[in-house]
Amino acid sequence: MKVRKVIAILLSAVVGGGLVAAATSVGVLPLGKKLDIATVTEPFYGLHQNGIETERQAHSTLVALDLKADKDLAAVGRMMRVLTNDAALLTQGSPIIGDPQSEMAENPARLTINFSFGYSLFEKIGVEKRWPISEMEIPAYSIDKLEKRWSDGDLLVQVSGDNPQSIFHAVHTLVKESAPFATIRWQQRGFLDPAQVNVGEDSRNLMGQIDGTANAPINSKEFKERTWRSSGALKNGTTVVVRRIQLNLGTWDRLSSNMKGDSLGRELADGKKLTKDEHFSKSHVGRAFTSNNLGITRRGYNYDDNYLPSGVHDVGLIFITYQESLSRYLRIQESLNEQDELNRWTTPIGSALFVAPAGVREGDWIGSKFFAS
Amino acid sequence: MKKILLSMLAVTLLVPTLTSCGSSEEAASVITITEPVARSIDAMSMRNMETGKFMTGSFMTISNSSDEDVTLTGGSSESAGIIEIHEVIDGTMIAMSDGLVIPAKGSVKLRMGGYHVMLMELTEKLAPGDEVDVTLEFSNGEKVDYTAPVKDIAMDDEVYGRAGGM
Repeated sequence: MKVRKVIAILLSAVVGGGLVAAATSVGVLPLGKKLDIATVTEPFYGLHQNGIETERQAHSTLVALDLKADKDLAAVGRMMRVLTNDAALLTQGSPIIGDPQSEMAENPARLTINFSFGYSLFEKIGVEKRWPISEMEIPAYSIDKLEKRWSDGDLLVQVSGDNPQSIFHAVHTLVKESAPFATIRWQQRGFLDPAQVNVGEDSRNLMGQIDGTANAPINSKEFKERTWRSSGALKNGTTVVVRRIQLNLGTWDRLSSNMKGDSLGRELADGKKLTKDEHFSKSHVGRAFTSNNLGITRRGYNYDDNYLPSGVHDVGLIFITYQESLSRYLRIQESLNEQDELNRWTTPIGSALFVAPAGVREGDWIGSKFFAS
Repeated sequence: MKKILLSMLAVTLLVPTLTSCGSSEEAASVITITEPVARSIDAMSMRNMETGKFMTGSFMTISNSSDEDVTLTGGSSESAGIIEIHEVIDGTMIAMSDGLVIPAKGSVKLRMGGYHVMLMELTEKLAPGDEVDVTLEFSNGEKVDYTAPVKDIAMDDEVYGRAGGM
């Protein structure tokens, strides 16, 4: 046996409409046996969209789409009815009718698919007044070097799971299904260390740091208060921030462990906060954990987009957060922009704001509250 | 030859809650249509050589929650002059003049290369992204409406006879 890996899975099931933690199983992956996690599913229908208050999966792909110029409000409804039905099937391991590669739907491995919308979509189809929050975009920060090819978008489709192959199939299917209505704006693919994700540990980023998300536990009161909006058109939905943070590993690799730890504000080995250190107040964690921090839900992923011809390794973090009010995010980001030792090795190159509406029951479609004709 | 695909699981999952008692409609609804789609029209689509009008297939799953078999007998749509129930046998499409039986407590999958609802004499050229409204009629008197998204769906392997327009 060449590879022995410990895999644990956390799964939850809907019982009587409520979310109940169902089982935790731990197993060893032996060669010649089908992976335990392959057929595990997460519920699609429910009060909230899936893939947010869900234990992080090991892989995630984000696709931002732009509505075609000749499409109207009614077309958005037709598109979202198609995509909602497709997502409901794919997440449960079922192919859609007419899927030319239907066998590829069979190992969902906790596949989740959620949809969120940008202000530009509301604007295009003339329903700006239905945009449910006061902010229309993330403000520009002095540290940003944003590129259009990684920013904004009308519709964000996020597909997450523990099986990159079923993610591929879902993304390919959903983009094909959206083709009559929309075109691709950008795509980002991310991953985490599956051994850490599957036991609920914080994962390391590609700088080797333990990325302490400081998230509240799934299904806790605290998680819900931070994440889900409690009233208005976005009730039971959330605001979504996606930022692409490029890492400069070239100079980072040459720092000593202590210097690396100082800039983050955590021990490199175990992620312990360096609160007594004289540098802590200038560090990333020191800046982030101010009294201004009311809590957000972070669900980011690492990305590796290969070596560029210049020799630079194009890697980084797809920073993804959910918060009931965008102000929770903005307060943290502001203090990080002012002073953060880590900024020397990190560059935001993409930025986008979306709103993710509530989940739906079978028969309804995601976004119906915003885009009903 | 006729293969009826039973899916008891689908029935338990898909049948909605019973209609409320005392409803003016005495005949309780026992038929459920899920995942309906219709294939878009393109240069390869079949058409009636005499009228020049296109035809296309609509696919779905039909479930019957009652204790008795129910037969799908036909249907109507503002988008189609004629609706027939078809079956593909040995690569050839055949109209099912006796209708399609949806077994008691069972369901039938209408899929590419098998059973399908044929929308004929189309009044509009269905394009991907459109929706088409159809009403199906059943032997128990029930009429069930569905709205099918129109999609590009991969070609079937079977030959639809000598379709015109090519």
